[in-house]
Amino acid sequence: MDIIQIDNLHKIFADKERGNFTAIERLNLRVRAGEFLAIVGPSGCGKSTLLQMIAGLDTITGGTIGFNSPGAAISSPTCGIVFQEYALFPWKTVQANIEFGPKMRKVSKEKRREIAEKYIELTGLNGFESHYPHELSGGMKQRVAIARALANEPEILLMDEPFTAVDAQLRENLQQEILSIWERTKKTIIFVTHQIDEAIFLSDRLLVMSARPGKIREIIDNTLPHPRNQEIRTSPEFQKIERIVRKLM
Amino acid sequence: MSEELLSIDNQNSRRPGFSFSAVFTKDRILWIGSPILILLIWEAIARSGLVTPIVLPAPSIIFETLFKLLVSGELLPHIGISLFRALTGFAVGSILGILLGLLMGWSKWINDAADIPFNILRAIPTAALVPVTIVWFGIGEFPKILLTTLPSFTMCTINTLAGVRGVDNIMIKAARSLGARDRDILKEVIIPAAMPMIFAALRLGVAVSLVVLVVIEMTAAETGLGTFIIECQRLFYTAKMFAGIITLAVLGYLLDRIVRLVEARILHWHKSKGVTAG
Repeated sequence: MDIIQIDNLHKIFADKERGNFTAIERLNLRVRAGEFLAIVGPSGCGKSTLLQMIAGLDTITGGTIGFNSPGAAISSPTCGIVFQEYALFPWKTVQANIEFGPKMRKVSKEKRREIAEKYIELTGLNGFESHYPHELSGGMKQRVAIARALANEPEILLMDEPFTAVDAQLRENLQQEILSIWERTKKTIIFVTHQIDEAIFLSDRLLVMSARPGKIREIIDNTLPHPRNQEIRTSPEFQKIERIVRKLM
Repeated sequence: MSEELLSIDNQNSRRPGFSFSAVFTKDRILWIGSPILILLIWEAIARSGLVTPIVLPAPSIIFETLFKLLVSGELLPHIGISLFRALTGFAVGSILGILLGLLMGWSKWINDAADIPFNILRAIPTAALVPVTIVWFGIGEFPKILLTTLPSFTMCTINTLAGVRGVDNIMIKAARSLGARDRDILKEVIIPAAMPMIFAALRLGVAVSLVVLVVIEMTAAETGLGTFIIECQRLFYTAKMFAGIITLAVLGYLLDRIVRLVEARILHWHKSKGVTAG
C-alpha cells in the first residue's frame, strides 16, 4: 500500500533579484507503507526541500502530495522529522525535549512521562534525562532528536541527513540503531543523505536524484537481506549496488 | 559513550569546601584589595589638608555621616520613595517593552507601524520630557514614574525584538513538525530563545532607571535621593551629599545583583554555556 503519493510536484523559489530557482521539477513518487526509502543525490538537488514539503514545513509551488493513512480516513498520517542540525530546544532537558510533541498534543503528564521513558530506553539515553542539550555530544543530541520525533508516534519518520555531523564510528552505530528501531516499530522512514554507503546500508529502496533542477534519476530496489550488520558492507551485492548508484550520480 | 560520561563526571567533581587558601586566593586579594586601596588613597588625600572637607570629605567621615543619617531615619524616606519610583518604572517599562518587542517580532505590520514613533521617542533625552510631564500631569508621583519607565521600555523593546529575530528558524520548524501551533511556538520556543537578550536588557534597564530617576528628582521633586543630594549640595553639606551618592551606588549594585540572581534561576540552561571552559 502507498502511504504517500506525490504527483507532478514542483518547487520554485521566487527571487526577484537573482531570478527564480527551480528546486524540484515534475516529481512523481509513491512511498510504500512501512518501507525504508533512502534519497541520495548531490547537494542542491532539492532532497531536503522535498522532505520539508512532505512534512508540511515548506510550501508547494505545483502538484500534489497525498497521504493514505492506514488507520482509515480519520486524519492524514503524522510525520516526524529529524534534522541534521538536531534543532533541540536548548532550554529544555533531554526529557522535556522528548515530551514536547506529546505535550503539544495535550497528552497527560503521566502518559507523557511514560512515552518519554519508552523512547529514552529505545535510543539508549538512560541516565541523561535531566541533561541539557549543550551538555551532550553530537551523537547523543541526534539520539534525543530521534527520540523526540518518535515520541509523537508518527507513522512516517523523515530524516534529513541526520548523521552528517557525527564522526564515522558513531555514524555506523547510529545507522545500526535506526535500522533496529525501524525493524521494531515498522514505521515508514524516508532518509535523505548524500552518502551512498549509508543509503545502501539502510534502505529497501534507493531514490537517486539529480540536481538543478531536482529530479528523480532512478529508483533502485535494494535486495540486501535483513537483519543487516556491518559485514554486509563488504558483500559483493552491496558493492554492486554501490557501483550502480555511483554511475548514476 | 564512556567519553561523555567522563566529561560529565569532571564537571561535578569540584566539590565545595572551605580552606584558607581557597578563600584568600591571589584573585580574591586583588578583587577585594583594589577598592580598599582606592579608599585608603582617598582618605590620605582628604586628611593631608591639600583639599578642604567641603570639596572632598574623607571616606571615614562620609561613612560616619551615612551611618548617622540611617540611624536618625533622615535618609530612609528618601530611599523608600526613590526605590518605589525606580522599581515601579522599571517593572512597568520592562513589561511593556517586552510585549512591544514580541509584537514587533511577531507581526511585520506592527513592526512597520511602530518603527518611526518608537525610534523618535527613543531619540528624545528623557530629561527633556520633564517639563512636558509637569505641564500635563503636575508634580505628583505619576509623571516621575512615567518618565522612569522609558529607559527600560526602550531597552526591553530593542533587545526582545533582536532576541525574537535571532530565533533559529529550524527550531520553529521542529516545533511545528511536533504539532505546535502559533501560540505554543511563542510560549515554548520564541520567548525562551529570546530570554538571554531580555535579561541583558533588564540588567541595563534596572541601572538606567535609577539614573533617570535621580535626574528627574534633581529637577522636579521634593523627596527622593536625587532631591536629597541636590539639597545637600546647595547647603554645602558635602559629606551628606557623598553619603547620598554612596546610597545610590549600593542600591544600584543590589538591584543588579537581584536581576542577576533571577537570571541565574531562569536561565540555568544558558549559564554553563561559555566561551571558555568551566
